Amino acid sequence: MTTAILFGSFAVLLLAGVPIGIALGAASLLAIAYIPFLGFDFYALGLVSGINSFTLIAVVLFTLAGSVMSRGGISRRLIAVAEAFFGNAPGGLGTVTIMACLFFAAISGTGSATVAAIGLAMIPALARRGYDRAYAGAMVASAGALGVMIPPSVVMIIYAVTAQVSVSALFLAGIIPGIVIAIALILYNIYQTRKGGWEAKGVAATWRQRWEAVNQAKLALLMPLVVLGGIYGGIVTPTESSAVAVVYALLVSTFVYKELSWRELGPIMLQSALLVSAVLVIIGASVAFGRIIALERIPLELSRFVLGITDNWIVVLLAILVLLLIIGTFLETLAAIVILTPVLLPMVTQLGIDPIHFGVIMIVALAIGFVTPPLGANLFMASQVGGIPFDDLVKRIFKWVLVMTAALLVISFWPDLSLILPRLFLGYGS
Amino acid sequence: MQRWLRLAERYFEPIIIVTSLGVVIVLLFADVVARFAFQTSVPWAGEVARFAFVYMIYFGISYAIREKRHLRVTILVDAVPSALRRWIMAFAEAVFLAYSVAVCVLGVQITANAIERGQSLSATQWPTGWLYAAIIFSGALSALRLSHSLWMILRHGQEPLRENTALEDEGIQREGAGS
Repeated sequence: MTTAILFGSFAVLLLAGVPIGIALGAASLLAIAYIPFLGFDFYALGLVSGINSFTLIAVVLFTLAGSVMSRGGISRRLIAVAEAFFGNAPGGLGTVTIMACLFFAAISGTGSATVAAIGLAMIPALARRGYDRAYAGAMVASAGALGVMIPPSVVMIIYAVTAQVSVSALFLAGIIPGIVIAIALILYNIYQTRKGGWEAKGVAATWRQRWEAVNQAKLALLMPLVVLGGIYGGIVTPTESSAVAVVYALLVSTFVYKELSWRELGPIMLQSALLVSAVLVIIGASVAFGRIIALERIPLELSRFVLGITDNWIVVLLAILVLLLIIGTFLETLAAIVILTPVLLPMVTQLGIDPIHFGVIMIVALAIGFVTPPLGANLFMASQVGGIPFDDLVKRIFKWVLVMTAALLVISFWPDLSLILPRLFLGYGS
Repeated sequence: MQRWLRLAERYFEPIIIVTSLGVVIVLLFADVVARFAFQTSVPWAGEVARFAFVYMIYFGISYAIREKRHLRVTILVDAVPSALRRWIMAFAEAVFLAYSVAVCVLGVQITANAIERGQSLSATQWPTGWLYAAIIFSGALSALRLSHSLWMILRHGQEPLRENTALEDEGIQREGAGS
């Protein structure tokens, strides 16, 4: 009964257009009214204790650092590096674009920031090189998924907090799967450009030119080293490293690149804070939600039900992938993680799937939702920065989604891809 | 008076949000520097940073109403005829309003409880009630803003909902787009 009230009212409120976090909170409050030994003050305390988290602070700081870095010249400099090294590679400018997204992902914590920064410069450039504009837009939107795979990643921090796993380990776990996706996208682009005859090979850059490009971009390229080096050198926590990243980004863009004035800083901070508030509102509500579903034994019942049908982990994982892909198309990613993790994780770990590996799977699956209509954040962003009609993008995106889904299957059924780096560097799981 | 109200409506939350965020950055960075340069640490830095972060988020939740930043699922709302849409939107806004009032009232309750029991935060010894009070302010400010937008929907027909998808960094990117 309580379960029906919780999920029923959540679904109704969600569809009525109540903000996601508020819908979850209101549904939880309704459910609490039916649970005798849970008071409303428990809900209110959860609102504060959920947010009062040292780890979550990194969400706003990485968002802010990415915003500061992506203003102005950083993306241009990173693209120049990608072009110097991959300009004459198979796939030409498409490969350059995807590599630039990969580089940018190491600075930015979100997917659509990556799409915006790289798409703005590369979609017109690709169109000039003979690429179909909508195809180029779909490519950049897909490569934006790298933004959440390559650390730092805001989505990963949220999963780590919800699943109570280490942020540092999850960050490492995302790197190889991110590269797998990049390779899949590059291969598909090579195939398409050959077929479409767009592949005009660029001239190979000399090592001198390459050095020049790297030199121009060195402060942007150094940032991931500072951030990740600090974390994995055991010097700072991920949250502290996000504060270092903000200061680094501010220093570089104010004093070195001179592309940010102090007067702009207030509005940028406000924008980042609002963005983060709008997504983290659900974290406060999720504390009570998590307690309610645990009290109602929902994860337990669900896993008993599913494992009663089959205990073949491959079948169960496939079913979960389908579920995630569907949910990712219409629900905002962080909300999906916060709601689904406590429900699914107990069952998944019972099947012997590692929580870190499951985090990577979940994040990739939901990232595919970023580019799937009707509500793909990256698609909207690509449409906006590329000046491409949304419907044209939708027609082109389907095959990219298939390619990413293929990569998702590889990542899902090959756990070592995700787990080898955490094992190697952090002794994870041993 | 009118002018002051208008300024407060526009700048009250932003001042607290940006200040809190600034405090978070400065404290965490200072703590890292202190550890590096002086082999010492600021024991209360983490606690105050979390405190400021809670205030940043809860004032942000209220200001996000003004800026239409909240993430909504708009599939149904977009699909229905506009006469019906107005009522659905009014319903959604009313739910949000009722929720905010509930949060405000519950906030008063837990704050009063914590102060009565004399609870305090571990490093700074600040009363825990001050931390809890963040949701009182958030609930009250949200309720004010939502009463206004509910009134606008009922009185003047619909108010455009923000798409729930172009969420990440959109404002920033739009501004930074030209450079």
